[in-house]
Parts: sequence; C-alpha cells; structure tokens
Amino acid sequence: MTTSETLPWFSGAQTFLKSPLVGFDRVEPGMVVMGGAPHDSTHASRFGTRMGPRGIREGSLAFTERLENSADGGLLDVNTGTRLTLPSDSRLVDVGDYNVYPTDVVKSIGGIAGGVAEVVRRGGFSVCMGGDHYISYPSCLGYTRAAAEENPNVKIGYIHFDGHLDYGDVNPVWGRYNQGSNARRISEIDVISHPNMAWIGIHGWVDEDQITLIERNGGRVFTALDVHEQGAVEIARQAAEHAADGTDFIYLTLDIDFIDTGFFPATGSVVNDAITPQICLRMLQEVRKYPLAAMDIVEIAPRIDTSERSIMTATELLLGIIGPKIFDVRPL
Amino acid sequence: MGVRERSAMPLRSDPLPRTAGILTFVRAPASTTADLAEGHVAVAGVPYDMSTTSRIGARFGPRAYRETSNYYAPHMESRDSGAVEINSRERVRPERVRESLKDLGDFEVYAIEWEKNQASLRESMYQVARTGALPVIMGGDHYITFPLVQGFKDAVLERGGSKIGYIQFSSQLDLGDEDPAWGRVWRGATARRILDGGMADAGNMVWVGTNGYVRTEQWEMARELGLNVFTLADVRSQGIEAVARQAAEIAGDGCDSIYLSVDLDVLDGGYVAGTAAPSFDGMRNIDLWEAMDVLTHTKVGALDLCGLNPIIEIDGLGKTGQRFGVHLILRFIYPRIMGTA
Repeated sequence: MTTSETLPWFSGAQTFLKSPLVGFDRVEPGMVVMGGAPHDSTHASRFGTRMGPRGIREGSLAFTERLENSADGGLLDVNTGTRLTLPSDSRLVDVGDYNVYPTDVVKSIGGIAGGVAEVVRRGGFSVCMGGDHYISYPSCLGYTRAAAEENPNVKIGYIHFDGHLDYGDVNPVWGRYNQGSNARRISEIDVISHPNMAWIGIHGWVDEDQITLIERNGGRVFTALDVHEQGAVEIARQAAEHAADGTDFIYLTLDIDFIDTGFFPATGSVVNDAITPQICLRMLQEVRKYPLAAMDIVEIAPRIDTSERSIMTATELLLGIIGPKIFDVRPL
Repeated sequence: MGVRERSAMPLRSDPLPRTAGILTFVRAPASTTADLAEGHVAVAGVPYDMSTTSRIGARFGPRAYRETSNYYAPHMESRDSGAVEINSRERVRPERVRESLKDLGDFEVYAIEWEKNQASLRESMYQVARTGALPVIMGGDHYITFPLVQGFKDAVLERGGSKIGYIQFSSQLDLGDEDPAWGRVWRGATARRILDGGMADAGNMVWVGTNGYVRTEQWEMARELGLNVFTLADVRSQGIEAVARQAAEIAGDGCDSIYLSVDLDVLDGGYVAGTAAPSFDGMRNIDLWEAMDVLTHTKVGALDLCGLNPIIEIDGLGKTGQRFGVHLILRFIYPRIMGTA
C-alpha cells in the first residue's frame, strides 16, 4: 500500500486484499499470485462472471479492515486458536487481469494460459479468478506448461469442486471450449494423470456418458450427498488422497456453484444441495494439506447477488487455501 | 411426434441454447387435455395469489418454473445417452420424457371473483385428473389447493374410487376459518376447507414440517381432533424418510389416492427466500427432495407446489426457489415416467 494511514476499507485501489499490483517481473518464488480471467462468453446460461475478478477483489476489501484495524495487525482464528498476521514482506500480489478476447475463445486460451505460465515459471502459486468455468482449462494449461518445462516427466493430479461434472466433449451449440467441457479438456493435457482426477460436490442429474467415461478412466466422483453422509473432512481427504496418489502436484479448480445457492446466489447455474460455505471451507482446509500447485476460482457472477454476500464469502473460501501461504501463522 | 418436430423451425437440427426457445415446462409439448392419457404427467400453472395475506407475487410462479425448467431441457433432447441421477444412478430416458410429459399451460384464473376462480380451478383439475394423467400444478398461493382438491376428488369418484387422503408440507397448519381482514378467502384456511368440506377424512390428512409459531386455536383444534401433525422437530428426530413413509401410510389408509400439496414456505428461508412468509429455522431443502423420493412410490395421484414468490428474489439472487421447485417436481415425476415408481 502506498498510504501510511489506514484508509477506510472501501477506499483505495481494489486489488485482492489490497495487495500490491505488480507486473510478472515482481513475482518471486513462494508468492501467491492473484490474476483475473474476466471471460464469460463461454457461459451457456446466466452470464455475468466477466465481473467475477472485480467482484472477488471488491469483496475482499471488507476483510482488510479487520486486518488493518486490529491493534497489533493480527487476527485470531477462533476455530483453530491460531493468530494470523500479515508479514511485512508481502507474500500476496495481484497481477491484474490476463488478456481475454470475448469473441475469440481460442485466442483467450493463449492469453490466460500465457499469463498463468509466466506466474508459475517465477515460482508463484497462481490463483486464477474467473470468469466462467471455461477459464479453468487455459489456467490449468498455463500451469502444466510451466511445470512440464521444469520437469517433462511431472505428473499432476486434479481436484474439481463443482455441482457439475463439466466433462462434456463437443457441445452442438457451444462447441469444444465452454463452461461444460473444461474438465474434459484438462483431462487431455499430457501431464495431467487421468486416473488421479477427483470431483467433489456433484449434484442432481448428470450426463450418463460423462460419468461413465470418468469412472472408466479411473476418476472418482464424490457427490454432495456423500459430503453430508460421510462428512466434509472425510470426503475432502479421500478426494485429495486420490489426486495425490503417485502424482507430484495437484491442480485445484473451485467452482463455487456447488455451494447451496441460498448461501451463495451469485452464480449462473443454480444448485440446491444444502452445502454451506462453512462445509466448503472445511473441505478446502483439508485439501490444502496436499501439494497444491495452482488453482482457479470460477463462476462468480457478482451482479446476480445484490446483497453482496457471495463476493464477501469468496474471500473466506480463498483464505481456506491461501491463508497459511500469505499470513504468518502462530499459536495464540 | 417428438418435441423437436412439433416445435421445429424449418432449419433446426441442433438443440437450442438453454436460454432460448418457447417456455414450456422442460420443453414439453404445449398440450390440451385431449392429448392426455393414462400414465402421462400433466403440468399446469395456476397464476393466482390474491388470497395471500403477505407479500403478493406468487402469480409469477408458473412462469418462473417454466423459465428455469429449460435448464433441464437436455433431459428431453439428449442426443445419445441421457441423464443419470448422480446418487441413485437412476436413468432419465429422453424418449420416455418426450412421450409422457405434457404442459397444459395455465388454468383460467379470476383474480377478483373467488367463486368463479374456484369453479374454474375445480373443473380444470377434474378434466385433467379424469384422463388418468398425473396432475402436477405449479402455484400460486396455497389457497388454490382447496378447489384443486375438489376437482381431483370429483375425478377419483368418477373413476370408481371413493376416498382420497391429503398430505400437506407447510410451515403452517392452514386450519383457520375466517381471517378478520381477509374473510374466508385466505391461504391460512386451505386445510380447513378440505377438512370441513369432507374432501378427505380427518384421519387421512397429514401435516408435515410445521414449524415456528402457529395460531393457538389451530394447534388446539389439531390436538382435539387428533390430526396427524409431524412438526419440524419430529422430522429432525425421526428422519424425513421415516416421516414421509408414515405420512403416506396414514393418508393412503383405505383411500384410492392421495393429494400431495407442498408449500415452499416449509423450507428454511436461507434456502429459499422467495416465499410470502419465509421460515426462520425451517426444513432443509434436500430433506424435502428426499420426501418426494419416498412419496413418488406411494398412492400420491396429484401434486401441487405453492408459495413460491419469484419476484421477491429480485431478478436474480440465484433464482433459488424456482430452481429448487423444478428439481422437486422432476424428482417426483421421473420415477413415474420411467416406470420405476
């Protein structure tokens, strides 16, 4: 931040958690790097996720007030009894938005993948903010490209939080790249280990071809009902074990639409499955114990939710993954 | 004739985007009672909300359900395999849905003249149910259930039956008689009219999910008459599956059929905010679905879904309620359509 006095939380530059806005050259190993992919022309129903990166950043501002206004610059996590403080050398940066081309889906792949690859080459933990779920493919492509440059034999697992499988191939209306084919395209990337793909939160009716093919290829699908019946931590652990088994790293995609829309209305494809944000957070906190290397958060369409509770919730969910990476964490 | 031919544009060969097309329920063919036959599912709307004592707007319910139902249109148009429910792995065969699901449009409603409205809904419901199709009615505020039950009973009698049972999911008992402001035409009297009119015996009427505060005189009436009330606390302690099974046994005992009425205000307002009277600490949404999974395998012969007020959820806030309602209807009707119920 450039000001010495604390600003009201709603003022100032709207980067994620008011982190420094930097170019790729300032990314250093170990940093968490926020980048936006405001692309939604690949969404089949209620679009609006082009405002997602902006919405996630805006929703994060309220959280900065809590950080900045505590007497010693720290927060206490009442559930774990740990203290969080922002380190003086920021480990969180925001590179702004990647290049997207709304009417040229294939060109957008290059823009997003190119940006994410730059981040990963410099040792950053890439958090790509969508956008509809299509952007997950270029985000993962960029990550895997950089990872394969470092080690051509790298083997990468995949965890997919979502209400839907997104394993369609070519949609007669939407074509090869869309918000329902992202996992299929990711499964085709060389260094992605197809049997190490895991889905969590699937709900309702799914395409029979998709579920059959996923399971034939060794993937595992955990439904929202599995989460209710066996518990959030247990399901997250099983999914992460599946993704980590014999792999070097894991790519994580977080489609927030598997959270019950009563709690997270800002999304296009509504799911009612009684999965609360707290249940989601518990799963993310379990998954982060595994070797995650890059992620995306997608399908947030801020304008659908005039209450703004969704974008504020998004910050808390992201902290479930990146919190320990960006805060100094110590016992009370 | 399949849905595609019926609605086809001259050059159409691919499915439409989900946001496009004429709004019928899950793109079912727009039909009349003349198209109905035994085993069909007949969806119809009742866009009437003048008997709600609270926030008006349930008249937009049928339109909202139809709009959201298009997200399930692939269940009718799927090109190859069709869909499976991810937990049960039960299949939805598009060709079966195309054959069996019909959208009759909306029944005629008369917002100001209740007597005329009542006669219309009763007659319309009778005309549908007498064909042997399963009527699935999208409300509308909950008072429409009263004439719909009348018409359903008429049809059951004509088809050689004698008695029906009644199951109501609602946060309220709806056992009021007259309201000081609304008189006799108000949604808080729905079950009372059915009871007083002898459409179902008191012993075959079941209330599920009653929660929060109810009017004292109604609670006392339920106790004095020994009515079968499963409160939300009962659902939590016994589990929804056990409660739904008991409800079907009680309502179906000695009856030819059961009328099932669902008022969405039974749900916690956190899950569906768009009702006239959202419940604070109501039923869980997935529990209500599970109840449908049980009840579709019972004598239930008609379903209505009331209480959704889509305009409260502004054009957005998830369209939570309408999506929930469509999913609820499909979970109830698919086992019937697929022949597994």
